[in-house]
Amino acid sequence: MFEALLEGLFAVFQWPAIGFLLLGVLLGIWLGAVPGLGGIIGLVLLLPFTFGMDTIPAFALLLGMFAVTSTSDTIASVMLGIPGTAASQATILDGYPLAQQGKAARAFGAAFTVSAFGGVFGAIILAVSLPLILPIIKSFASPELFVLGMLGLAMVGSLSGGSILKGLTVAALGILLSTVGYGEAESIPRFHFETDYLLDNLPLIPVVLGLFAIPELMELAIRNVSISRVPKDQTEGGGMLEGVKDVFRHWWLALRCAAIGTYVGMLPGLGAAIVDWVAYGHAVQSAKDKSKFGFGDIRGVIAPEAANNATRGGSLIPTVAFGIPGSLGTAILLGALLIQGLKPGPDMLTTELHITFSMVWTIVIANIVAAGLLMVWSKQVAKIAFLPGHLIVPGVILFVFLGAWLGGAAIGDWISCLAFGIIGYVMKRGGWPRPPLILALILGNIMENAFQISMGAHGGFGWLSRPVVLIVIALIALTILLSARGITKNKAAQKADADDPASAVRQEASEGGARNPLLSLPFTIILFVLFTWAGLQAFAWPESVREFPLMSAVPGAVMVFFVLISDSRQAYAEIGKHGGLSPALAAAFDKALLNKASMFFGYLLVMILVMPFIGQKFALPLFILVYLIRWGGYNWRIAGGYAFGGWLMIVGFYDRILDMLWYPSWLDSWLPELLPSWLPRWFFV
Amino acid sequence: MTFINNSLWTIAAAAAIALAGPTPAKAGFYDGKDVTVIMNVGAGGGLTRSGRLFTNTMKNYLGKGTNMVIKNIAGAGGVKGMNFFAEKTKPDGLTVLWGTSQQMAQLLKLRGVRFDLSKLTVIGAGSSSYVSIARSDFPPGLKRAGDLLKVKKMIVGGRGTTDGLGLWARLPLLILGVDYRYVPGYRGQPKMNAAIRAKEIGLLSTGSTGYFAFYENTILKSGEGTALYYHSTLTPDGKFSNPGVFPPGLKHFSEYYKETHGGKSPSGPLWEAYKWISRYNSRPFGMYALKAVDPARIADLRGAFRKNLTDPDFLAGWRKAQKTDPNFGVGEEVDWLLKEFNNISPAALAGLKKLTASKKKMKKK
Repeated sequence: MFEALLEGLFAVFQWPAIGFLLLGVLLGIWLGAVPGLGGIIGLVLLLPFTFGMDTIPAFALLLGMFAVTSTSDTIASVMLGIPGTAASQATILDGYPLAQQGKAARAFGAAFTVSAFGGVFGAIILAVSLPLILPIIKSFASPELFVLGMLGLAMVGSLSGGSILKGLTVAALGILLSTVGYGEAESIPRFHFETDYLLDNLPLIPVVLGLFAIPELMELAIRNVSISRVPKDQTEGGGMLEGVKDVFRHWWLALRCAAIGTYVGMLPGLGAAIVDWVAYGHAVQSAKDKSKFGFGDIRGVIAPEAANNATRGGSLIPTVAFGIPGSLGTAILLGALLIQGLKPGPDMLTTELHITFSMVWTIVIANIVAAGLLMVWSKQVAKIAFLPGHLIVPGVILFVFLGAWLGGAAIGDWISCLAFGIIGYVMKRGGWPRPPLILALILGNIMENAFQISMGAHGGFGWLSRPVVLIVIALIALTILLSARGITKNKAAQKADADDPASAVRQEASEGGARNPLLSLPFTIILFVLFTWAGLQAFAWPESVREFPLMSAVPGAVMVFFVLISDSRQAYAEIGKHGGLSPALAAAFDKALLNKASMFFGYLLVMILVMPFIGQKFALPLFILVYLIRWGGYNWRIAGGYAFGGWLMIVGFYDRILDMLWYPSWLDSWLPELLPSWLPRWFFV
Repeated sequence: MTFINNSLWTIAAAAAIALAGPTPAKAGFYDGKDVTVIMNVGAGGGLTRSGRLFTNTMKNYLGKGTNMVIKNIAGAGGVKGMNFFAEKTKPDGLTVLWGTSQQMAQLLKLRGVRFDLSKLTVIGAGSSSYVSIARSDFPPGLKRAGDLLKVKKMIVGGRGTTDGLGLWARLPLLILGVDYRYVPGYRGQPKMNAAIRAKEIGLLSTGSTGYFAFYENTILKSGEGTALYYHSTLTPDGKFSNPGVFPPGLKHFSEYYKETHGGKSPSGPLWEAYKWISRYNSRPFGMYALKAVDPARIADLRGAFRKNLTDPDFLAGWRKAQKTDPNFGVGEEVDWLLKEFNNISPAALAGLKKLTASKKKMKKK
């Protein structure tokens, strides 16, 4: 084994493997940093190039890229409050508030250090625990995955901010949204409104980007402030070195979360999707002082970043050793393995062990190199936090909408992105926490699948008595208990701080902490109607199809009813405070920046409406141009240059490199015929 | 300075003439063009992998500098991508589809189907053979051929109610008279691999690629699993082909049936359904174009497809990844796949509908 370990290491350092590894790292850094791209796209993009390559250089390129996307995705999460990839969703909860406090560099220092640590530690744990992996995987069948999903949902308590009831209602909404499309057991599509787009599940990326990115960008656009609310010369303790020190201060947390990432990551179909949330939830629950989570607590950055990098290694071994990939990314890597003529199986742990170890070493080296490079660059990147908002908004909108489009290449992706942008805005401003929605949306699909299989394979609920299931159920009970205790403590702390104006401002800015009952109330009513309607619809379906929609709609309707009572009371008090409905509404809308927000959404809506006529290659640059001139007040030259830069990015990167499938616009139906043959049509359509 | 300016102008003019000049008379239609290949399956699966391998060399036979660009539009078991291809793409010969042909979806009028396969033509279609694999320790233990018939309630895993692999797993059991419980929801072979190892399911079916990739070297080698029988193409003369890739002891399902039923051949509606699947679902994937495309372009595509089948790089890559030789039919040889699939006997259709029907009827639409 030791010989194979060394052989694998030397193989990675040989030319051209090391060159491909470095190339992969550079590509991975870019793909992770741009919202909506990520490792999967990188793998799909690079796979054809590996057809003619030898095994070790091929995997150096693929794994070098794939391993580091969950390191560089921190940039968008921290700087913009937008998950760079699905793996860094939980990082935004404390990373973005740190950037707003002018401490982006500190968040980067901690995130990159712990990412490298997580990646290396995950690989070491794997190498050490190779003999344990098969028994672990064998003992986690569908029933165990279902209860693990439940455990993930139990984390909602840690992600709900101020109101646990609202958090649970939002989680019910997430589960309900996850049931859109075909059920598992029957070919009966649910809530699809006779559209192709909703025949399968609601795609995650447009929802995540809409829910988190659009409200933050809207805020930057309206206020034209920099991401950091604190001037650069007034930031304290925000340096990168401080972040590195933070990791050493919280080494035990980093270690635990890396272990969580490794072992949860290897569970097929569940691990990679939720590991950052599980780690974040664990950090909150295990902390003595929970009061700073959500307001820029560095532990909220360390936990998910340690876990999501460790996952990369965690899911690799089951893939190569047993042909059981833990995620879509590793499924593609499995494909690469087959293309190379290798077969997953015991050979990969015996005769081909040096190749397996070369993959592990690739992950280790890539993580260290990426962390080093990002440390060097991130000082410059952190300066973006001090740029005017107007210069950030249009460029990020371009990435957000193209990222949303990439997965499904359907106009529905843009509509979803905008719709969830509006929902995200109302939730943020109305005091509804957004993270439980995403967590439940991811888990709902996995849980329904696991539940249906468990019921089918065991012919009923017999699976509930399986030992691992019972252990996880006990963990769920413990998690709920700890959450309840944490919330009680937090409420007590909030009461004590009630007279402190700084604490009130902080609370208002936190996830789910805003208090605007007159904005929340209409949303509550809509949710009540939605849950009721969905429940009634579901009754018409066969049992296996309706189970999950009903499991979310019925409790959702009950919980939202209580929220309705609470919101109504608060709204009534608000009306009394302002001396009437009109002034109260005016104040609520003013507080929520509703007028300007509507205008911003109007800009985006017009862009979407124009797109079918002129295509994305013109619609997005046009948005940039109009936004900068009309909203930002910039001159034609700057706006034109920015728009041209956007067009170059679309054509050069998304068209030529990513081979994106564009919307067949009206322009596409006649313009190519008029173009001279020497002028590439891909410039325009 | 004047010299530099003049030189620059001369270079620019020469470049413009070169770029705008007439296209060489012998240039082919596909020279320098991008051909979009829509794939109605996900980016991570085996079909995308095979499509990438195929188009990676096929482009060289289409034209000079031709590029074949893959776009995955997965969803609804391939229906989404097929709808997109049939409805949204232009019949200009610059877009083709690589994926599953969806005869079953159209035949059973599945929800969401809007395409009409009669408006498509086959460029080339690939053949696949399948194997049913069971856990050797599934009670009362599967040691000999007849042991399967003693199983009280086999637990069968599959993707969904209408997918091919699920049908290959269930239909033989129905014909054999083996009681089973079908558990759909396994999204791909790796998930089924995990399930059979964890003893969650007792039986599954896999294509030949999956057989070699996931099972031959693992549970079959260790004896944890046993390959029961294979399924292959029903040729026009009514015989089942021998793919020649499986171990010699592994028999076709019809032979297995005879062996376990005293030499009697299978018959009845379910057997008719089996034969239909063996004819139309045994070439389950391939490259398709819109029928409205200029016949000259169709001929170009078919020509390139055919030439690619003997390309040394393609053959080497295919053998390395798939562990078998490529088995494709080209153009007219396989156009019947999309023309004749509707000619199904009422008995076979009844058999298929029985197998794919919803367990409980919906109360309303």
